[in-house]
Amino acid sequence: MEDERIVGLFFERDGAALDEMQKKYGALLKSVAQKITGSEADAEECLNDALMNLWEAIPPARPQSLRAYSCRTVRNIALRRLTYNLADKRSANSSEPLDELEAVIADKGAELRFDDADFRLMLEGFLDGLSRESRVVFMKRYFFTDSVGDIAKDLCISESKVKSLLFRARRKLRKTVYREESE
Amino acid sequence: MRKNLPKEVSAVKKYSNLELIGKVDGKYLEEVFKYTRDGERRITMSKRRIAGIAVAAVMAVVLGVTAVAACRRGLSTMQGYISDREENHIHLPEGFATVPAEDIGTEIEPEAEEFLPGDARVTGVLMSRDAFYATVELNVSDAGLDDAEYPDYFDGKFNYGKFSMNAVIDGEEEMFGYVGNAPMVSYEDGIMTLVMHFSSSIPDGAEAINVEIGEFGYTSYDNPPDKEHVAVSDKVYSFSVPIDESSIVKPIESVNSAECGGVTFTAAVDNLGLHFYPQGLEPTDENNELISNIVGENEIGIKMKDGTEIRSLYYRQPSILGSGFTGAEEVYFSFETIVDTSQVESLSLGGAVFTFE
Repeated sequence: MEDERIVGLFFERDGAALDEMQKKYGALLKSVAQKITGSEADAEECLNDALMNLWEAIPPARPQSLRAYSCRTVRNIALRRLTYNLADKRSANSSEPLDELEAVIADKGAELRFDDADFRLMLEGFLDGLSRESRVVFMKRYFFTDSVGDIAKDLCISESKVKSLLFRARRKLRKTVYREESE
Repeated sequence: MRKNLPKEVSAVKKYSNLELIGKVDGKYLEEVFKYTRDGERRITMSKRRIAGIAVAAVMAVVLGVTAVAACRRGLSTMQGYISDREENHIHLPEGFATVPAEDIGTEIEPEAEEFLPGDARVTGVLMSRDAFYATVELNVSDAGLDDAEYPDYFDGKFNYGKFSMNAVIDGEEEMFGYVGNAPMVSYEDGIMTLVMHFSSSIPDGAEAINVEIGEFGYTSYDNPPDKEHVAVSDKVYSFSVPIDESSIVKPIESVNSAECGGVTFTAAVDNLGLHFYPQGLEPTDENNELISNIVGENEIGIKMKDGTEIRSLYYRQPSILGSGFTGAEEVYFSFETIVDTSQVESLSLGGAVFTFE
């Protein structure tokens, strides 16, 4: 079913909207959640929570891209799940990609003083400055938390190239963050 | 200060900070979906590389290299040529031939008894782990091309078309390459010869590569700076190239190691690219940056047995070098044209020289 029709079902408060979401995007959303939480059971719960969140958000929200909107929703839920698990030592998942990124924007003594809107603008400016391939690799690694091996396989490039692209992107992001902070 | 926080709290703070990544506009996510296997995967040839190959084709004709005749004999002959840009203006010698497909074990479609309008055939293929290069003949005698416009076509303008490459794995097709254009080497008597070249790894387990190419047109620059795509033919041609291990060119390793920028390297070369291997470095961010800087600051050179030498600074004037990657484990760049490795005397990275038997 087309996204526009699914959104229409949400607006009509027709429960079939969730069935259609499950059918069309269930596997993708669960995959996003499982890469972050490391647990299939947690990923299932995150998926269910995400569907409920979508039900509550739409309407009034009318996402331009239902796929992107729902990925973002489930990702946030999965991240919160991960922090909950880590806080109670329920998970040994280390989430390498997030550690890599944290190392880039971790301060060297000064706290980051961005608010959400500023950070988003800065990040999108940084992304726009990357080549398309670099941007896709960056997003696959740090939004979808794909492994280097999976990224290489999906894009049919070598793992060395993935690492190289990520390394350069992180270096550029670091420069962007510190330049913005000093302004 | 984050580093002074208890471990569990710092983890919470870390992840809540990184949720901000999730707030980027949905267009960046859509781009990922379109770019990867769920949508289309695009392998983009740099315009300079395309120009380099197209110019090589021009030179092949000017110097009398019978590219068309060679192709019809089943050879892929490309005059190696460094495009006429600024300082790098070196021509590789005449008769700089590639390795014929049959000599490297690549099986190509047996030549049909008849080569009818609408038929396509591969006349030479070279594949390495990271690059693919093929020459293809198309019988376009029914495409309505006007011979009188031949000079324009041959000027590298006639280069727009659908061009996708699908790997056959366990009987299923999976697209792994898409190039917006394949430069034309020659056009004669309704037979168009094209070059397909891109840097991308052939997927593991691929049994064959199915290619679709067609829907040709050209870019018209009649009203600069505007350019216009002019469609010529809506026909699509398809053919298949079987793959086995023997058809993948393997790099030839250097007999020595050498030092550049404080790092010891070994080297290797194959028909489609060159490799430098840093020794004893873990792939950390710092080491990746170190190698990237070394490569960026030093000329990369290739010297042939006849004394011809080509040098190129990748980040300034790409000439022999196409796309590639640098890292603590390997530096790789594809060539803009095919190199006959039996004629390579040495590679160099700055002052480090690597020789081959």
